Amino acid sequence: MNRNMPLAVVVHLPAIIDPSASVRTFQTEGETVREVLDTVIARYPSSASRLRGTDGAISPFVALYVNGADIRFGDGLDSRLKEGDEILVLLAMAGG
Amino acid sequence: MEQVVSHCLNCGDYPLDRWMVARRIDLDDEVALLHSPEPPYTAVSEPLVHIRYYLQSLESEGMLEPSAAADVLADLKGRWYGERTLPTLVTLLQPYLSEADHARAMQLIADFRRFRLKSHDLVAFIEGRTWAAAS
Repeated sequence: MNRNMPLAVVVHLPAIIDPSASVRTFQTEGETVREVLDTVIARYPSSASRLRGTDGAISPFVALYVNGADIRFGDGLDSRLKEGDEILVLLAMAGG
Repeated sequence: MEQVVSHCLNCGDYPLDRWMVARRIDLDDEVALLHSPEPPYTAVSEPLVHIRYYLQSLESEGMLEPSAAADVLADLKGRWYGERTLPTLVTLLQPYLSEADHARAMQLIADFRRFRLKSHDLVAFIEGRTWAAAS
């Protein structure tokens, strides 16, 4: 495999991230979750304030899963991706 | 209808009820969490009462000293409920567990459903058909 080839991954976005988004599942490229998150924000700029806190860190209302695994249990935004990985962006609401 | 609702709310014989009553826990803060707005309503943070139940299990299996459980709980209690996450719990437990116990504790966290008393409550409520008895 050519290591210089960008890794293609699939991103699933909840509708609430950007109601204007016409496609909620799309393919993009990135070697880490951080890179993919950057592409999501570049694609849907209005999602930036929902995804990131004022300090630039990921918002506590956001959880990211790679192939169903919560990245908070691993390397967080620095989690490395493989070709074909599926990234689910989940935006939480309060409940009780 | 009011009578049915009142009966359902006061019957008080569900896992979460029993657990909270036995420990004199009655705060809304204990059950608050962040979750996805769509099915399956994935939990992003964990209600404190579930974490209490988990820590009690570690205590009863001899993996965690009561004082350590109290320290972990106090730390989480002092945080906003959105920050009471399982990864945070893992980090907080790290200094208190031996290597072997840590592995076992992580096994339990990996299948946290058994500690979700709120879900058990809902199942018991539906299976008990309490509303039918009141009507």
